[in-house]
Amino acid sequence: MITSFTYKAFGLIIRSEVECPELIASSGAADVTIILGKTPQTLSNPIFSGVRFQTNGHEFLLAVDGIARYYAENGNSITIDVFPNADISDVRLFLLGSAMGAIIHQRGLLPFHGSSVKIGNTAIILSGVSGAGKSTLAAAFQQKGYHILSDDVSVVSFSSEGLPIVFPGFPQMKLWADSILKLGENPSNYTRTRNRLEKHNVPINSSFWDQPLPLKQIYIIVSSNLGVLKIEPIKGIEKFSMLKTHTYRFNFVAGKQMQATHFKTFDSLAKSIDVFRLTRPNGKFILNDLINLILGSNG
Amino acid sequence: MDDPRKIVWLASYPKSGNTWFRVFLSNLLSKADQPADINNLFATPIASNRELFDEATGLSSSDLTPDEIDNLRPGVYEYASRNSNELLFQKVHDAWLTTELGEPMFSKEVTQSVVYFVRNPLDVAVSFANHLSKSLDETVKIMTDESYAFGSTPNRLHIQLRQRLLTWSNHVRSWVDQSDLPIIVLRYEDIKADTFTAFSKAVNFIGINASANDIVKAIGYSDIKEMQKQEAEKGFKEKPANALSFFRKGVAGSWRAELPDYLVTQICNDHREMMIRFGYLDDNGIRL
Repeated sequence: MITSFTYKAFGLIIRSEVECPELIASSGAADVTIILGKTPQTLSNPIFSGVRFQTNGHEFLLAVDGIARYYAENGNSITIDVFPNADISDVRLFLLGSAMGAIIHQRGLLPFHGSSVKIGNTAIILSGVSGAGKSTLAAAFQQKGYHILSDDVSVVSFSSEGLPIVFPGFPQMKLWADSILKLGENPSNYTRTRNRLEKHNVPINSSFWDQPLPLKQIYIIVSSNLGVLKIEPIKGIEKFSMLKTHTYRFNFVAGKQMQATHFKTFDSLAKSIDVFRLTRPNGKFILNDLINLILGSNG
Repeated sequence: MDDPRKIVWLASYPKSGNTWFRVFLSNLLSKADQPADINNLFATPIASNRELFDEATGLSSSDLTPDEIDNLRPGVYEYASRNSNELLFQKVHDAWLTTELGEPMFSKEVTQSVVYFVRNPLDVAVSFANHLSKSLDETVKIMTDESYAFGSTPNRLHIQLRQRLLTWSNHVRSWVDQSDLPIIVLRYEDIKADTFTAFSKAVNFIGINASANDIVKAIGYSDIKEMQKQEAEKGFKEKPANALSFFRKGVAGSWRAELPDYLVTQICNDHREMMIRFGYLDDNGIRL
């Protein structure tokens, strides 16, 4: 019999043949199963194709050269075809990233590209393009004693009362060596996300918040070379388009039904939360000032 | 049938007139009655932007090594070209290179045309030093460093993907001699001397439908003084954080006052062949 492991992440019970030590162990009936095996080489009827991925409403296929091919189906199963000589930690990295992202989309949940932090009894999401400083700012909140729900991807859904909520991810952040140094710590204390990258896995066990929380605000972090530090609300049509822009892997959403579900989510979200643009000076990461601006707008 | 080759590469070593042409092009294509906002240039993103890569591959470029990223970049431009209904202008500072897998990064299959900008390396050195906030000596060294790349410090995430520049000479050679793409080469000095003729050539080469009046108007809106004014008022988002300004002087020949003799000699020795070829030195190596 094949060994399997049961975890909880993003509000889902996951049963996996691949051991994922970064996830929280759990029990119960699985929402998603992860198995090792053969996957299709291509989808027979893709609606959308990227460089190494294909998607239709209920299937998703992604190849990561030298690592694995991932096949996600119906929001409840992932098959991984591991390529020869692949490092298993690399296999997990793309499993917990893009492949889980596809599952979350297929289930009609919204994976938002950002890290979520608990402030009071609600959650905020720190978003922005790659390199804007989402994870570093979340880590700075954590240093000040705040709890983290998720790093990089925050899953948003609606409660039975129609309120937006964020589900916890798993208790680990990924930080580049220079961010770890800025936070006053030593990068060599942490394992690397991949052998050849100076990006590290930073466990946040005691700071992890493992229960869903109402989502109150989203902050889009923008780095600017003009030396300005400011916060401003985003309104109207731009608010809607920002929610779409910062959805994790939006183009995994293929097919009319999935797109309709997501547009409904953006619409409900735009009506129920505040979205701010947080502009920070490029090259200077003034974490305390950013935290104070956020806390000031959170009242 | 629709031609799948949609990308127009606006290619150059840094500080060679690329942004000037992009501002001109934004003005030409927008057909507006006021100068285009330099912080919101129409349709000329840089080819090394992470958002396009992450969107096209379904991966986070921040989880990949620079070589893994390069191997996927030909596919990224194929994706961009395939998903566009119109010409796609892409600024690019990478040299024209093949990946580890032997594929050209910027292939014939996606390329409508290339506009390549070349500028006297003596002036490039002065302008590039300002851009990098480095000394002239260091900058001249960078221009002969075959391994030089933007965005390559390994301990942090750069806003852009790694861009390998090669040496100044090899950058020019890679695009002009090795790419085998339909290419027009514009010398910065020729643009400066007769902007209308130079930009009209490029517009015709790309096949953009524009009248002489349209071109004159767009040139007026992209004057260096207009760009400097906008930068002074609102800044320019493409300026490196430490540089004083992006639109510095916009003149040809400022090296005469700003570059010490020994560096002039060094650049002329380092880049002699290409300098002769583009008319910056005569056959005897005398500066023109």
